[in-house]
Amino acid sequence: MGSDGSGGLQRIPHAGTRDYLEKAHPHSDSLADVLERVLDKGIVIAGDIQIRLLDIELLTIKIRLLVASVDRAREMGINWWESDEYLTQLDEADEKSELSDLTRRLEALEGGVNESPQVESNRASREEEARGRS
Amino acid sequence: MDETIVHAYGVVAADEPLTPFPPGIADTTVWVHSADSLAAIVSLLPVEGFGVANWERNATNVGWLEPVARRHHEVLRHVAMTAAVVPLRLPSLYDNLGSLTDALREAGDVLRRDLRRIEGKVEWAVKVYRTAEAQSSAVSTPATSGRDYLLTRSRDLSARSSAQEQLRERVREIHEALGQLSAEYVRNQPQDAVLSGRKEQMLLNGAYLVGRADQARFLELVGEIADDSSTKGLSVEVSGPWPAFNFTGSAEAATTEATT
Repeated sequence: MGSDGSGGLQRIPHAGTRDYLEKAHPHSDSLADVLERVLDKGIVIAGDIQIRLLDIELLTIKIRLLVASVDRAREMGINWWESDEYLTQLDEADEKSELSDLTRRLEALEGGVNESPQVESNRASREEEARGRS
Repeated sequence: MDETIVHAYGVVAADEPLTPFPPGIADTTVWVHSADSLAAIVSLLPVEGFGVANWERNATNVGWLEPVARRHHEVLRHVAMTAAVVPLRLPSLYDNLGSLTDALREAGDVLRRDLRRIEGKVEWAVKVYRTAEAQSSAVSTPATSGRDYLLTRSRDLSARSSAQEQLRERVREIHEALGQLSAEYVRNQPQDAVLSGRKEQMLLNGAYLVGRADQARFLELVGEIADDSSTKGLSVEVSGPWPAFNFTGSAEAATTEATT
C-alpha cells in the first residue's frame, strides 16, 4: 500500500499548463479516442448524396458495442478485430509498434477472459454505466 | 485528371480566418468550399481507392480505417485550435461540390446553431482508471477451516463492494467538479480494454466543453484532483483540446447531469 506514483495525473508533456496548451496533442491520440469520435460522434449532413451509408452505419454500431463491452460484442458475433487480416499479419511486421501493441493487448485480454476479476470488473463497469445514466 | 469524390471534414463559419491545413486523407490537399454563410473543409479523394465501394468494402477493416480516421481527425483538430468547427462524421462523401453545397444549405440551421453552441469553446477529455493497486486492495489471511474461509470470504466481498462504492462516488464527484468549469459536459460509456489498450478498468470517460479562456483553470483543476489524496488508487488522464465532437449534432444540449 501507499506506493505513490501509480495514481496521479498523467498528461503529456509533463510541463506547465501553458506549455501544454501550446503543444497539445504532442503524440498521436489513442485509436480508441479517435474512432469513438470520428465514427460515432460527428454529424451527418446528407443532402442529395447517393452514397449508401449502410455499411458505415453498421460499423458505427459495432464500434459502439465494442466501446461498451467486448464480451457483449462477442455474444453478438461481432469479432472483426480478431479476424482482421491486417491485425493478424502484424506478427511479421513489427515496425508499427502501436498496432502490434494492439495485437498484444488482444492476446492479453483473451488470456484474462476466464479469470474472475476480469468478469467482475466488466460487471462493475456496466453498473457504473447504468448509474451514470440515471 | 482522374475521377474524384468530395470528402468533407467539418463546417465553419464562412468568414472564419483559417491557417493552411495539414494534408488530408490520402495526402490530398485540403481547402474550403463556401456556401452562403457556411464553409465546408474539404478535399478531393481519388475514386480509385476511396470511392464508395472502397468504403463499403473496408467498413470493418481497422487497418484501412485507421490512417483515414487519423487524417480526418488531424484536419479537424488543426482547425479547432483556432476556430469553431462542427465535425462531420467519417465518411462524409459527396458526388461533387454542387451536392455538398445543397447539403450545407439544407442543414444550414442546424449547422449555424451548432456553431453558436461551440463558439469560443473546445472539448477536453478526462478519463479515470482504477489502478491495479486499488483493484487488489482486499487481501485476506489464509483460512484454517471451512468456516473461517467463508467468514473471511464474505468479509472480503463486502469490503470490496464498499470500496467500489466509494470509488464510484469519488468518480461522480470528479465529473461534477470538472463540469462546474465547463459550459456543458457529458459522461460517455467507459471504453473496453481492447479499445483503451489498458489493463486498468476505466471508471470515467468524460467530455467537457470548456471556454478557451478557461482551459488553464480546467487543467489546473484536473491536476488538483489527480494530486488529491482522495483519488488514491485512481489514475486521472486528460487529453485535448479536441474538436467539439461530443457537443454538436444533437437536437438538444448534451446531457448535463444534475448535481446531487
